[in-house]
Amino acid sequence: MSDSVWQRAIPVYEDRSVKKTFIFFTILAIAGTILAVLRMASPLGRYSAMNDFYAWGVWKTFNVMTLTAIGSGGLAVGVAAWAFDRQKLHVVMRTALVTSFLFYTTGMLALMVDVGRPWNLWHILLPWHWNMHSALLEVAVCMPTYAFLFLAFENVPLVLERYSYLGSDATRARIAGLEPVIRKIYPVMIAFAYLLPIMHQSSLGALMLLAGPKVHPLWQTQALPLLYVMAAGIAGFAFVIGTLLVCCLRYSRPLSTDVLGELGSLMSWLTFAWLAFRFVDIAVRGKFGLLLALDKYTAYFVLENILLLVPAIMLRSKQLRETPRILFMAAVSAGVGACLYRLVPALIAFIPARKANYFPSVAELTMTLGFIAAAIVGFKLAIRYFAVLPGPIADWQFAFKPATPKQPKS
Amino acid sequence: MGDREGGKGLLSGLDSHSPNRREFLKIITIAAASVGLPVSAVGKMAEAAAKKGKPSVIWLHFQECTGCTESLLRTSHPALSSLILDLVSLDYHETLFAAAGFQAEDALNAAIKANAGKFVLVVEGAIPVKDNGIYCKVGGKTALQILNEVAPQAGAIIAIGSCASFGGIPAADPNPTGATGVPQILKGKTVVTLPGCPANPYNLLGTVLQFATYGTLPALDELGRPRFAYTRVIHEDCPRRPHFDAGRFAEKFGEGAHRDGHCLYKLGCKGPVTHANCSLLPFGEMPGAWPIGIGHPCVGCTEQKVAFRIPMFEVVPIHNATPPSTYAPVAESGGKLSIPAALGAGAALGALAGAGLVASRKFSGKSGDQGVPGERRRVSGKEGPPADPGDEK
Repeated sequence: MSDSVWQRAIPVYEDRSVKKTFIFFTILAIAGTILAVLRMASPLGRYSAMNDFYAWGVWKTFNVMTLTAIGSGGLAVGVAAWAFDRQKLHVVMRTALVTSFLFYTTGMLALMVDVGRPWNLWHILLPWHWNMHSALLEVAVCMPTYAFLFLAFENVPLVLERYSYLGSDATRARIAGLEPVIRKIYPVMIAFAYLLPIMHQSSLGALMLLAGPKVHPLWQTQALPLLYVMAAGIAGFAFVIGTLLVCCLRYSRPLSTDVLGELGSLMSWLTFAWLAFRFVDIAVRGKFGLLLALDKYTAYFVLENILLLVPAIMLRSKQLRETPRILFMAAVSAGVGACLYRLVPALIAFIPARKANYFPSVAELTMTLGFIAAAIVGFKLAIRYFAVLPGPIADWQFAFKPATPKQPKS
Repeated sequence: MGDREGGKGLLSGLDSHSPNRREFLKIITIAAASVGLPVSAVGKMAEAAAKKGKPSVIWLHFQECTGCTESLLRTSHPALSSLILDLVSLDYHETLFAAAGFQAEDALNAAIKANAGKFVLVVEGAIPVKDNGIYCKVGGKTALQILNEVAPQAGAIIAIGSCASFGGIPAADPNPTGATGVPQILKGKTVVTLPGCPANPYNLLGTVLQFATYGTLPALDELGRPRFAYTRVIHEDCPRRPHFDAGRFAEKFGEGAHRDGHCLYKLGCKGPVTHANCSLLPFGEMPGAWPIGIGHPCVGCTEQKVAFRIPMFEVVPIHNATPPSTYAPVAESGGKLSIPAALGAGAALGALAGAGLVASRKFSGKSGDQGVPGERRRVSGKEGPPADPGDEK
């Protein structure tokens, strides 16, 4: 354990040739951005399939409600590492923080596009314009504060590290001068960085709670805020595990089954807690009978819980959670389950009228995928220019230069 | 309260009691209309009155406050005098009797003898059963004895008020006298219960007149309450319902929302769980003369499980969360499925699932395998660090 395979974050030393996938994601991101600008310059109806019944389209329900859950890896890993003293998780913290930052940023871009009169958005800066009774205000104030102040601060060492290696002597001196300040405020900033997401992730649940009888009773509960924030933790862990595995596959890095197993184990405990809360809540509210309806809501409910329950049970076995393939499938399953749970009450089990429905338009979907593509492009750049992904210290080259083209392995 | 047209009082009506046919038809028409009997009932009622005579009513008082009788005294369509003199023959009623003592007891026995098997027995008040019922005695007999003597000879038994229906206030905790409702004592007999504190007199009138006219009792629910009056909950027909739907609640007595007549649910109104027709048939023909009408939450007096058991200001759960009626959508349906969008979404999801499947196959299926995924045979840490920074990895 002490000599884990992953010892520190290391940049991806890749040649600078541009890959096809990178071009694909860049084009998708640009297409999404162009559409977003066009959309902001025109009424909502032209680009969105939203209607009088579904005022929240896929941008809010998927990019914000669901993808910030995935982007809660920074919260989940951070709380585990700092608050619960899981020291070995610090090595994957940067991966979690960078993905969190990217999902929050693109989520907020989507939120801007979703607003009918975006030119009034700056009013959020004027506290005397605030509606203090609005749960959405909590989200609107808390989310950007978290992303651009506290989460950004957590990511600052990455940037400083690069420039303290690559910069001139003057830059290095300036960074060295900053260090005591950063060390001093670090604990406070960290505390806020874990308080704020808990606040707004639960507020997202509160938004659906306020939707009242529009949300199917299997999902509508006073416990929605708690379940939402816990689901964010599950999705966060799942996404960090998945990202680490895929990146190690893509960039040929060894796996630390020890660290990954720890993440999997925490995710499994959190899932059990979540399932317990959920089922006790449904039992207390006496709504289990609705499962006998055998309609699409029953199906979604069963699917969500199975996608979460099966990996939670499997990952209790140390042998299974240290098997890369099993862990990958478990993480995907739990991630999809947690995301479904976040999406379903907001979009699928959200029934504002008997004959109303909503399916996103091509433009909406392009923008949604565009924002995700932008996050992927951002991630690819981040892991290349900064030390993000964990690896063996032997690979650490003390410089952030690209490698020469890869030679065939012997 | 007396005959309004003649300006005569109750006593003068008693003195010269002989309505002509026209007057009689008028009275029974009003009575039929008040209790919701059809027009055809008027003819039948007249016929029945001519043929069989008026239905005999024997009214027993036990543990109660006489509130049900008091509310009956305040009906005016038909007026009480018409009711007890023209429509029914009230042969025994302790409150309304001129007679007293042995004279009254004799009247009771005579009426029972004369109308055995035909009379309507109305019971008002609970019956104490603890210690052989010694807590309520009339003429030396306990309430329990009287009821058990009279009831078997009655044609129909009606328990008026919450006390007679299920014990009511006398049966509230700790119930020192063992107060019990009529149906609990007369097990196996059909007892029409008209719970309410007081019961709406028109519900009694309707039941009695139906029995007098057709010889039948109204359809009853499982608690013996006539369905014509106790099928719907107060909440469904409440005049304050629009405030409930719009989310306007009075939260404190005397404050603005309460003065404005907003919904009393949060003050503990039991309307959502109480079956009664109070809001549809006002007491004494006075609109608004009922608890919610005067700004007090419903106490649920017609419900055995609510009245005098759940605290008066405790909020009751609403099981069928009723969606507000304020959606007011212009259109009834909206939204359409775009085929290209669905195909696009499907393709994206499919690509993602495919990529996941391909990726999962590249990961080692061996537990604790720390090697670089995709290269099964390589063992991590075998290679040394690269010779030169910036060189090949």
